[in-house]
Amino acid sequence: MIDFKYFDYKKFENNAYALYEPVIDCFLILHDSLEYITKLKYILSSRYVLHIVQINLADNFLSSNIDNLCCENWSLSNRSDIDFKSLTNEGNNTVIAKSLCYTPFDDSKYNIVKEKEWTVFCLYWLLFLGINGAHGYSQIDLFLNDFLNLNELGLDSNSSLVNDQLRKDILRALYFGRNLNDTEKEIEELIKDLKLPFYYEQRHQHG
Amino acid sequence: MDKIIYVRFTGLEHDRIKEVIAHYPDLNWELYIGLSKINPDSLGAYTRHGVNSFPLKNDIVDILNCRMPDYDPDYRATFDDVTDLRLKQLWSSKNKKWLINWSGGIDSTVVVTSILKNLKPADFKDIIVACSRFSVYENPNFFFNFIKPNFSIIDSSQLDVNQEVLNNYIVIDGEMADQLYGGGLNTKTIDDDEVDFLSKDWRRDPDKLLSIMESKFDKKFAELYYENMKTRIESCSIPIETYYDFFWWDTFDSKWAPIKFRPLLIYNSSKNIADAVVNNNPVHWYDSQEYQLWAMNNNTPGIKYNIDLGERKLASKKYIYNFTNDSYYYKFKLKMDSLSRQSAKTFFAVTNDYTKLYLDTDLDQILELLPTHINQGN
Repeated sequence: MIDFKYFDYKKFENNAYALYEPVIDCFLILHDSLEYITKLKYILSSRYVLHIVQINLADNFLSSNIDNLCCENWSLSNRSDIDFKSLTNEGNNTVIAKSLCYTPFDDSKYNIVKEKEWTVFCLYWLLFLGINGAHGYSQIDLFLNDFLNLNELGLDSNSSLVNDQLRKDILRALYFGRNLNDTEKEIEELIKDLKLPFYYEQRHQHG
Repeated sequence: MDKIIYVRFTGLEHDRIKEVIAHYPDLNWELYIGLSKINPDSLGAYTRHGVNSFPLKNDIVDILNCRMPDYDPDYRATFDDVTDLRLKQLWSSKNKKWLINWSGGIDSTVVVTSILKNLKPADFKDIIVACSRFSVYENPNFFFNFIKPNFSIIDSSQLDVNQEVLNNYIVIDGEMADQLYGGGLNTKTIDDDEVDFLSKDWRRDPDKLLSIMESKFDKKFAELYYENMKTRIESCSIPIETYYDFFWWDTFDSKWAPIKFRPLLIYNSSKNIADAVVNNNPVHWYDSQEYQLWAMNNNTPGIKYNIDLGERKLASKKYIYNFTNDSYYYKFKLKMDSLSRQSAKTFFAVTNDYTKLYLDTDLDQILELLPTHINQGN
């Protein structure tokens, strides 16, 4: 995982949210933003039924023990607090882990590396859209611009790097994607005409 | 109307209803009312095989023509066989267009898969799929790859299955699959980390069940439940060995009639539903003799279920996977609550002319007729 192109190592000192996968009984990915972990859960819902778990409040949470390199080896003690039968879990979106349980992953049945790479890949692109195409996507913009109509003043979200249609196309590719290489090619094709900031330029050598 | 044929659990704890049932103190009310707590989604319980150990008459089982078929230990048809057969039987007797209720869940996806697998594309023009946006979110790949390209679609969230709809369509839903597979794994009674005990012999190891139920309810109810199940199981000749079998039997026996009745009662806004009952429309896909015979013979790990949470309703998931090749749906799809079921209207009873009675508007009638439904030793 450490060599995976889309992986950025990070320690979670304060807020740490995890996406819990009930069939494998493990955390697939961690992130410190509830907003992004929620979006990631929705994008991944075409593959898995995931549940958001806040892990930093667990009585045995140590940032040195759990990160995105090893989160598949951890579960939570209070699984019974999760409503496994709800797809959306609206209104009770986040379960707070009481304790974290070390449950070494059994790789005989599931290819966890493949699943984790997919989640990291999707998070990468959600963050990309958040930074580069956020204007049409952020909650504050959706709410405020609904009555301020700033686009009438020429402050159009389409003037941002990623326009609304491109954002939708990337999200569709992630939502329906089944193969990482194919989806990667599809997205690279979609963004090929963008002049990317330096950070992204290095990762996507097209422009 | 001169008698009640059906009541819902909800309402039995109404003060005026309690006054009526207090006149029958020797009946098993504490157990029966407690059953609603095991599975809060359930409408009621009526046994359809063996002894009726509940305090209510089970005439509804014959009215709805849902007595259990005789157990045949030599029945060998697979889930795929009976599913394909069900499609062919229903299609050959079709006299109206079909309206399929597709929730995105496993049960109704089997129905649509069977259509796609067994019919010709030219036949699809006679089939409409009713679904909602949440159906799509539950199974997006199936929707975009198979439903959208092949069928006309209507919004199920706006659909009232009233007489006009039933006059124009055979309405088909995925009800009663839960009863084929067994409900114990899916109730609040057993947490998912406690499922290991389901493979134990229920006669030899009552303690684990009793302790789980005692922790969730109370000791007296736990013992009443176990003893009642024991009485019901021992009055029939079907092999019920493990706790998996035990819970399957509970729902297969006592929930079949309420679930068969449920769509008529909940999705139909009409106060009287006689036409729907008489014409057997809506059609519940899994309500066939062959499915029930399959269910009686396949309480086996690897066929109906396995230990992993993703391996419940396994035969259904395999049937879908063999058609779609969607390995994510196969591995990770879980049984979900149906959103539409959560909007049940609060009728309390149904009379023998198929009129729904409500506690708030029909209480006097209910109080007068309820004794006709109490099981005084039949």
